[in-house]
Amino acid sequence: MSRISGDKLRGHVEPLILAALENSAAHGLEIVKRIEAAGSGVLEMKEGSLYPALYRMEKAGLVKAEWETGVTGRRGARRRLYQLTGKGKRKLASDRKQWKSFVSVMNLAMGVQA
Amino acid sequence: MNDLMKHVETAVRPVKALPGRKLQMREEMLAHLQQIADAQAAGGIDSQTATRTAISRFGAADELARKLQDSVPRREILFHWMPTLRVPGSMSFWTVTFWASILELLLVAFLIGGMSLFLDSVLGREVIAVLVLIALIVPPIFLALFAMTGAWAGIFRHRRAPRRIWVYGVALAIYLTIGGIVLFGAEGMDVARIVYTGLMSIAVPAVFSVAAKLMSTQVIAADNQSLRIRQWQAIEL
Repeated sequence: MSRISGDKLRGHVEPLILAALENSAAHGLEIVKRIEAAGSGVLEMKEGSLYPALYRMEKAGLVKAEWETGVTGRRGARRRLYQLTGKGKRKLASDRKQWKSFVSVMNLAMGVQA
Repeated sequence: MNDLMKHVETAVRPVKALPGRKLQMREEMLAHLQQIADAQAAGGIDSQTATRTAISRFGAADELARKLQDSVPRREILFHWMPTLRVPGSMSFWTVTFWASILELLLVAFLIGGMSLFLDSVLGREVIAVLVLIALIVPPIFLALFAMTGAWAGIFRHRRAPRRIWVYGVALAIYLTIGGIVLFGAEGMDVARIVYTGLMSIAVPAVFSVAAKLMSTQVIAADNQSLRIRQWQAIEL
């Protein structure tokens, strides 16, 4: 299967981040890894583009973040841990419904057997 | 490391946002890039290739800058250039602000006091009396609070000397006691006024020393932040 990246992912990054954070909090790189693993390695995003999306989502109250504290077993700059808020969980549920509806309509329109 | 920082700085520097937000962007994205490069290096790849791979995976700096700018609230873009918001409370800023406020207070006091000289009335004399009182009380009290904060934070000669809190506290207590006697007059010092002056002379320095401790934490944090921001800004692009 060919990789899905760039423009094809545009508009879907925020729902993907919400889904990646559904079960537990994570920092940026971990979010990327979760998205790539969930997409069986087919989804490929420019990792830097994750942060503007995270900042927008934080501003919208969909995620909250705090600086990692304590011993992390790694050197270098600090990381922030992101987790879903109640609003973020509701948005994820709503995005999933919309996505199902979108896919079924597109399947019909394009004559794809579901 | 330097190339990673440079890549991050190329993306973040053009962004119109408050320094604190930009620092957060820088540190967070650098941590991400470092992790990618470290993982590559751990796999036996040389550091230069690891750095190049990390930068390539992260994406082009100009596109990232544009996306980062879109994530900044509009009101912050409008006001990011304001000096009071740009400088995140460094010690020099703290010092200048303190003395500027005192100077401003004195100027206003003397301006209004001077104007009241032309008012040939009891109100005019009362205004002068109040302003003189303010000029005598406010600066020393602010100075004591500032000195205590300085002692905790190490503003003076960049050395922390928390024990000086006692010196400043006692000095303030003496000042307030003398002030109370002057205010009420030696003859007017009945029991209630003696108790009031005594309590104030102890309570004010005690409250100030606690406030100074709290403020010093903020000052130290702000100064550390300023230092980190300056390190990033020193990167030549």
